[in-house]
Amino acid sequence: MSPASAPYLSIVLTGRNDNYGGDFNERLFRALAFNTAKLADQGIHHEVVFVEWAPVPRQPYLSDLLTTAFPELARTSLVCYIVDRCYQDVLSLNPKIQYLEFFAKNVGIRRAMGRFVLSTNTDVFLGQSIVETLAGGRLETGTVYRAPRFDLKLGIDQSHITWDVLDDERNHVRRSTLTPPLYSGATGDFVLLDRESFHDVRGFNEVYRLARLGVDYNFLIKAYGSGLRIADIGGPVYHIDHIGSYRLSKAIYRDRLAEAPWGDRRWHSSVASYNNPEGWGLAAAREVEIGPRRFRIDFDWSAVPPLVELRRVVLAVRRVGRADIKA
Amino acid sequence: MPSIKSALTRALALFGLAPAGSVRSLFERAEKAEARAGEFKSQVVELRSETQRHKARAEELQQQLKSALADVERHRARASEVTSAIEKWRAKGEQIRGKVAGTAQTVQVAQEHLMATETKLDLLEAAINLLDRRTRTDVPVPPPAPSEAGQES
Repeated sequence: MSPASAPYLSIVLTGRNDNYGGDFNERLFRALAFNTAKLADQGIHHEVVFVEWAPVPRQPYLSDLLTTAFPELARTSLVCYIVDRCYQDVLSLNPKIQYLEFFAKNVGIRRAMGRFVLSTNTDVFLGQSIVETLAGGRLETGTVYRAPRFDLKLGIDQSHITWDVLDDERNHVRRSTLTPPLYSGATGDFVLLDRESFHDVRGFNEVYRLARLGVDYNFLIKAYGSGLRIADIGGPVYHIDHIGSYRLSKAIYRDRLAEAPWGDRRWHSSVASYNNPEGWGLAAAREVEIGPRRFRIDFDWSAVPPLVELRRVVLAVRRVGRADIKA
Repeated sequence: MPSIKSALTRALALFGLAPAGSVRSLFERAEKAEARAGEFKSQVVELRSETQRHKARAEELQQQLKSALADVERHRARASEVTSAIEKWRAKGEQIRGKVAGTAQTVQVAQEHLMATETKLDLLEAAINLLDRRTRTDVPVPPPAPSEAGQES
């Protein structure tokens, strides 16, 4: 892809056809339709990079279902990567974690072609302010943009989602606020950064593979220590609560944190930073083109980092002129 | 008649005499003057005594002033000592504050290293457990031995 034809924005999503949360596919399709329509309305040149990580055996690929549901998108701006499930088996250090979400996102981030890359989740709706900011072309490089998340109530009618519905406070059950210097809080739902800076910090943590909770926060620690600015983009994203989400399920594992499906949240994500290897995002893996804008990432031991690389666990740094981060 | 009276008065004066009326007038005047002198004398005595009292009071006040000035000097000297002591303790306090800050920094760094080490240990433990799980399938497990009849459990 030439620089001239490169999109302004890449949206990186990950998922698979496993009915996560009860209606995963529906939530993905609804949010994707909404977001891409709003971006197209504003003339924002974008691509959607969908990483299907460790697909469920004997289930249709979610990439195929997406292609069928969004033929126009599939023709122009949807890129799919199907990652062999062996990677999940050999990379995870915690048998409770069945989906290495941030490894999957790194696969997409590494291959995204947009000038700016948004790593988000499949059930997140972009707010009006965000779309307008993107349309204004006012994003700056070297800045991690964050957005607060507003949760909409579980069971809400999702058949006619509009910004009026999303903005109505009566539909909200929770509205997070972001505070400097890290602007953390539901971080994984919105991390927007220019492609070059994402590559510079080498994406999300691939060294600590015992938990997926806290890896997004850990990215902010890495970014902050690397000298990147972190800023609130100026408007929220919206998330519709679902069964199995961390917020609704965390009480179940209150007394057995180590058994949670997202890993033990008590790991030192505010102190233990990381240096991903050069081959982050399974860069060395063999990609096989299986259709227009569809690729299969086959298993390749050469793309798999060592089980443990202790030297890549590093202390977060402080910088002159930057507020301290409390552990 | 003033000229005859004055001529007679001059004639008497030649003999050291004066008219009785004049003498009486003079005596009255003298008595008055004496009375007045007596009054003045009393006043002088009183004033002299008052002056003495004021003088004594002034001396007393002077003594008090002297004593007060001496007190001020003593307090000034003491204040100077206290100020010096305060400065000394302030410097010591600053020194201790610096040491505490340094110690706190050392403690924080040590805590961070401890947390990083714990993270590494988590990774090692997880990796060992993973390898343990993987290699268990490689270890052949012998079939259980048949139980003997009548053997106590």
